Amino acid sequence: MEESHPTTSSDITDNHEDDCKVTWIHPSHIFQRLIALLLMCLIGFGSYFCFDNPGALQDNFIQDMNLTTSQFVYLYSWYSWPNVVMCFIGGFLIDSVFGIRLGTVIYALLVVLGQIVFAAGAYLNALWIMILGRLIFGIGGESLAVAQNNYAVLWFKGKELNMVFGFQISFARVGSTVNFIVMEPLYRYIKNQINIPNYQSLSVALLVASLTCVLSLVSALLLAWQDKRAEKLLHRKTPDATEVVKMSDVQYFPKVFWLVTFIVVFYYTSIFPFVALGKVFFEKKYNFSPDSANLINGIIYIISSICAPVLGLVIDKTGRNLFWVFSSILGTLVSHMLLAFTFVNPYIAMLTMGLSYSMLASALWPLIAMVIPEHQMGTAYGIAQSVENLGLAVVALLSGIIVDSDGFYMVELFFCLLLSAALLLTAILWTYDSMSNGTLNMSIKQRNQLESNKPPCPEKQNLLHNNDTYTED
Amino acid sequence: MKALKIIVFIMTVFTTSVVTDRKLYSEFNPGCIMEDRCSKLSKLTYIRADGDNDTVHFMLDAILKPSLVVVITNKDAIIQVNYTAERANDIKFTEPPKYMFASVFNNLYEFNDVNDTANMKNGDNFLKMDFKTFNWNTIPSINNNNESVEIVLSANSYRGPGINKTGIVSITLKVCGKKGIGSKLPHLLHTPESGELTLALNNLNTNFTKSRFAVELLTSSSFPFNKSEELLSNTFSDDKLSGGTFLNYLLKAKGDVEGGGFLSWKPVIYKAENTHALNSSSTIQYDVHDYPFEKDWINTLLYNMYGNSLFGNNSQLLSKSINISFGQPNDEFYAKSNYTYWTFLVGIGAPPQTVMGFLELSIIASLLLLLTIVMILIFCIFMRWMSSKRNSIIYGK
Repeated sequence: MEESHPTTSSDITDNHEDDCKVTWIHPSHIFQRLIALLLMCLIGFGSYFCFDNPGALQDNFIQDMNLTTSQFVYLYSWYSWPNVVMCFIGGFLIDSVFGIRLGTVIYALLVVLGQIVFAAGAYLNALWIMILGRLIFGIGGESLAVAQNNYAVLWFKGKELNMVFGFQISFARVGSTVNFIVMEPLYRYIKNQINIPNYQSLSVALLVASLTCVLSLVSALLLAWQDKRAEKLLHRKTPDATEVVKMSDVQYFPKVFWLVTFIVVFYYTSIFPFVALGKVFFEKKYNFSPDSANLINGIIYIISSICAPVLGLVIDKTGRNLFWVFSSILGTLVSHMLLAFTFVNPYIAMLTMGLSYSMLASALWPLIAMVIPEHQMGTAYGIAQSVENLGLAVVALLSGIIVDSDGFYMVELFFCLLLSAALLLTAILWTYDSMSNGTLNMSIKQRNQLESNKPPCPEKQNLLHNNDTYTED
Repeated sequence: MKALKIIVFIMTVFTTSVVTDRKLYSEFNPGCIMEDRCSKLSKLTYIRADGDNDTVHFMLDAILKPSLVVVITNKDAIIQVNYTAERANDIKFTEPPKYMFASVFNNLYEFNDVNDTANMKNGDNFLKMDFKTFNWNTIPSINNNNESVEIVLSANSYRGPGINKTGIVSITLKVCGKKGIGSKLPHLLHTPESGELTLALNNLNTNFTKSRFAVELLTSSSFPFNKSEELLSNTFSDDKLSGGTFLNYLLKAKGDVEGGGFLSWKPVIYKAENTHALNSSSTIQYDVHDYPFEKDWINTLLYNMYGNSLFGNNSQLLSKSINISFGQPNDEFYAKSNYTYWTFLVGIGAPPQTVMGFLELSIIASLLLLLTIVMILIFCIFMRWMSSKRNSIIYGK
């Protein structure tokens, strides 16, 4: 599940009052900002918790509803399809149509609705209703992440913005992790307590999970109220004209951008579809219990929630983004190879994969900010995410078909192939970069030197420092 | 001398026969002149697989305990069946068999798995159903251009002391003249010297809400591979034939050298006839034991071949039994699907080995190619970096 990239930070202005004494009930007091941060984190919690509900209950879906793996992966691909488009218009609707408060509430409402329709589909044992639920959920979920980031910029720009992004990412990962830990025991408990067909037990478990989305909706409402109050008290103004994604910009994008985009696609399509299908893989190949299989499957997210900020700091201190991207993809490839060809303890592979995944997110996304001018950043990130979603939808479908026809070994080989392609593209990018000015793989010291030697240029002067403009996947 | 005999035997029989294709011929009650009379005494389906140097004979009987007997003889040896009420030694070959391996369906068990462990050692209230007591019907064989033969034994009821079962129990034998993979999951690899047996339990009424089933198989092996029998398990990372199953079991008859008869299976059962890989559950296999009990062996086709020399101290046959139960914890027992099928292979010679498929080879080759290009590019980057480093040292910038 992707997180969106705030692009409107520079367009929002704050009119702070500065002199009078600020009490804890005042919107500019740190206590109020902490409350806002908590609510922002909770807004995303529900969607991240529910996104991987199918993955956490994979074998139960397959057994209870008599699905093939090809049918099961519809639950993921139909999440991704709408986001091929929503990456462009989700943020635009917030900025220009709904406004951030109404937009957030609408998206949170869609997430709740999507999850309830999903649960209803399970109750009726109707796959198409479940797919419809995931489609609605997808429309809301991805755009909610954009809204979440916009709120963060609105409340924390010029203050603790990077830290806030870090918190949001970690909290999102906590949501994914908690899902993998609690859903199986919850389902088992419901199955033992209520004497109904298994697919209806599944439905009840999904309905209980939807409470986390309701929590997100309540948080969205509370934050809307708090934000409205802050706007009133701080006389805050948001400009009318916001940055709009312009498809015409695409023709000006350099080759490097497209290379990065395809690295994103090839890399993430070997991670998210793997996690979606991982539970049964660990149960079947390593004889793990359902609980242990979910734990190891969710370990990528656990590591990400803990290590992402630390690894982000490592990259902030060292630079050398291409080196780290290359190492991360290589690490992930080795992990998939261990899982495909050997029976060594899968925790070794999954820990390596988790660390590589966390590292890659911090090293890869800023590359876009380095090669695209700031005024085209929204379009660039929109396109990257759109292509990524397209890739995820297609690869999820292919993975399901491969598992059904050729088993997990072949799907692992398929993921290795995708990662090899990502590795090759990174090597090409690195070669191209080393033959030009080598900007993408510079150390921080070299970058600073380069910056200090440059004449001031209004459009490009912030490109190498634009760390506020990305978050990780 | 004995060792030399064995070596010559191995060289002439197995090394030549395993790799060649065979032509198949099937016959019901072979050599019978008066079918009505024969059918009262015998329901024997006979398949003959002719190779270049030898012939493998498959016999599946449906009047006694269903059993598949695989015999290897010199080429052109012919089966001779004497259809009399006196069964002992009424099946012979024009030339003495070189080796025989047989698998017998002895008993079907139903047990109450109260604690849902799926292990029959923890089960209660065992019901024992003798496979002989099922009322077997033979469905005519399907012969596909002499390349494969399929025979189905089917029974729709069981009436034994205190046990009354309805539902269909079927045993399907498929023999192919070429090496290949089974058409249905778990797509077991087979050789022309092996037969694929499938036991299906369809809509059987159960005596308990937590019923599971298990099967007791007997095996018999003749000289020279009658020294011992062992159960081996083999894990493999390639599950492409039976998605989600990474284990194979092999019950192998051994002599002084490798190459006896074998049973081979994957620990998986399927819950519907034509289904997908994950609509499945596991099997549990138990220890192999000696099985000297005459009353059961008499009720097998082997008695027709060997008579009283089948048992006793002078017997040269190795007689063993193994239990295999169907199901795994939390799979909601047999009642969940009311259908189970389990497939295994009975054969002689070298068990079939997995080979890389074209798709797998292509992917691995592409992977290696991509990684080679990556290594070359990284080497170029490194050389360039070294050169710039050298320049910066030489020219001071």
